[in-house]
Amino acid sequence: MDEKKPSTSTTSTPPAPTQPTVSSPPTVAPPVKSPLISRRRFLQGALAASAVLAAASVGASGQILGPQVPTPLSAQVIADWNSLNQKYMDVASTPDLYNESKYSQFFYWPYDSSVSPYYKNIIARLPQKDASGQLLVNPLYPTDPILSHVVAFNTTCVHLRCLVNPGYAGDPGAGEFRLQCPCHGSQYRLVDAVPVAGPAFDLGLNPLPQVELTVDSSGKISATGMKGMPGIGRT
Amino acid sequence: MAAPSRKKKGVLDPIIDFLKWTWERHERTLLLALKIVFPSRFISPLGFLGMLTLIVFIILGVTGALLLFHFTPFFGNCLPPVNGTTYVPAATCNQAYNSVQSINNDVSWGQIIRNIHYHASNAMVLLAVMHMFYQYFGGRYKLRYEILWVTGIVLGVVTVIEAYTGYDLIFNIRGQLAINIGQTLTYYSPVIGANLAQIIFGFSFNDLAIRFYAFHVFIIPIIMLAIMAVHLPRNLVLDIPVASAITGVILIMGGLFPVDVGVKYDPNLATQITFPEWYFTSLYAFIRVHGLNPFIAGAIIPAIFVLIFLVAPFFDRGRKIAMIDRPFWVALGVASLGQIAIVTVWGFRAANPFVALTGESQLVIDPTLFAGSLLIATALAYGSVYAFVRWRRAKIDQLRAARKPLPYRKLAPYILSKSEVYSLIGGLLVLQGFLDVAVFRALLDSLNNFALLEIGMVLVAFAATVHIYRVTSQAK
Repeated sequence: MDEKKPSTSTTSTPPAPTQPTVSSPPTVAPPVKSPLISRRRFLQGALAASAVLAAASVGASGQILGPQVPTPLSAQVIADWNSLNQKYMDVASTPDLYNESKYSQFFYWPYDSSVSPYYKNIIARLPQKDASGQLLVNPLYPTDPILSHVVAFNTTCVHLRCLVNPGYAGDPGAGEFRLQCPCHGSQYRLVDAVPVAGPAFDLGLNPLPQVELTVDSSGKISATGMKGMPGIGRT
Repeated sequence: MAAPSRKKKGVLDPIIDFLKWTWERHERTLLLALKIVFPSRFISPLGFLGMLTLIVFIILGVTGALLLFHFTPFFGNCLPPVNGTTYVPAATCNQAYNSVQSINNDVSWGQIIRNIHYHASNAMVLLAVMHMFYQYFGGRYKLRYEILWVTGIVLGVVTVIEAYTGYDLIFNIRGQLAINIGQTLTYYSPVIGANLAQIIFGFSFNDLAIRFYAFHVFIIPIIMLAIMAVHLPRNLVLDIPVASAITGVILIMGGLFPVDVGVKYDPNLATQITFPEWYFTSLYAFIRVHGLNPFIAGAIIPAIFVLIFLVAPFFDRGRKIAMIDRPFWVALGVASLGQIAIVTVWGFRAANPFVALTGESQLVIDPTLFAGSLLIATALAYGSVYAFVRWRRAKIDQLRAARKPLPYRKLAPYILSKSEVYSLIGGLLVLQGFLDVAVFRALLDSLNNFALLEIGMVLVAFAATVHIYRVTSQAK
């Protein structure tokens, strides 16, 4: 834009600015000694530096793209041991033993369901024994009289973030208690949420995040922490 | 157009003069730097599919703008189920879905506009893909069309992303599954994955709703317009009858196959299987292949596919554009079409593609079967098309050498007689009048789909009328 103006200013300043584009090799009159850096070069460099600095000043503006993270809930009562246990006892000797949804329940923690579905967790009363006769015990609390019989996991499948449901693999009595993903068929062991079938198993993905629990004297179970990240898993 | 032959002053002349006056003044604008041709006879719409895509884009813009008035980009507060009672979804939950449902059920004309918006989005994706392949087979990525080609491919990808953000906004279970997959794929992308996922999808679902809303109604359309500004060729064909007929067909499809809202997504309810939109079932099939990493299946493979088309002009360096002179590229195009068809269909089917997908156990596709069938189909399509093109080329060369006429068909245009013109135009006008009354009746009885169907038919009848007008006004 500056190239237009010189028509008025040519009278005062002698040679250079009238021919801005064609660099006539040695400018006619002044420069006898070649300076360290030509005036034009210096100005171009200054312009470039100025442009970079100007851009840099707004460089951090990308911050606005970041999401607002709500404050997580603190430890919270999520289930009652007595009722959960009762539900299990009611079905323990019926075919409904293989329907884990009868003695498990969903809860949202540390964010409620309106924040994100990915904080949906399941708490289940562990059945006493697997089909192979192995005792099922929560590996986090193997000796606790109550918490060894209860597991809680985040339900976000580490494959493609569908929410898993409780399910039973194989024929009743011959298979395994599992968490099953309805979208692409990943299956996790109920006892420790390690992938045992489907894409999560094939790709060697992480186990589901486990919810850390405490229980008080009246049997109220609280969630206190989560090992791992929803959708990423326990690493 | 027919100005010189006209002698008597007609009633419409002042209007026509005014329109001409306005049109001439557009010479001072950028608009007339585009050479827009209004063809005076029927030419194949395949040649101006891009223009039709643009028209559908405009339809989408208009209907989308109308839907803005009623859509709530907010997820809301989902109460957890109360123990021991049958769960009733909270009315405050998933307000985005609720608003779409009210558009469908309560807002007057809401269902019609949403129907048009949905079917136009499908039509836009379809037309864009058809446009791409037509130009590809026509060799229209050469002859200094490279920038048009590259921007076109980018525009196509952005169009699909726009469609993706659109159907996620409904927040039905299908949209939610698409969100899950998109979010995971973004997370899996190297280095910036986690940050990118936070930027695109936000933290909470309320975040996600408002972000996708911003993407869908503003950011991506603006990007599309910017790319379009480069992609727009200087010579355009605007065929009013075909444009009108395409619009009519979209409306007819909307009337015949009205779109529903889908199953409400509620985080407190168990997930169900749904299929993605048809332009994503191909990716869905890849994602379901046993042992294939989701990022490779859902991002790398499609990226490679797109990339091959993106770089085609830089590898097909010959000066000839006719299909018959490019056996390799033609065969490649047909093979890729075949691949798209197989994978898309497979996405809708069970692991065994001859069985419909009903249960979770049929989801995982055997990689040997999948890759094997793709390879065989590709090789067969490629080989047969390559051989056919070469054979045809050889045959034409033979005929040339023997100085025999080449076997090109040419259809003589059918000229309508005067009485035919009058009866056709009259009949069409009567039909349009009848349909208009029928539309009115249908709207009175709130038979929205009938109304949409009939409006579409009116537009097709209009297209026919304009076509007859232009053909006959030329013929004399």
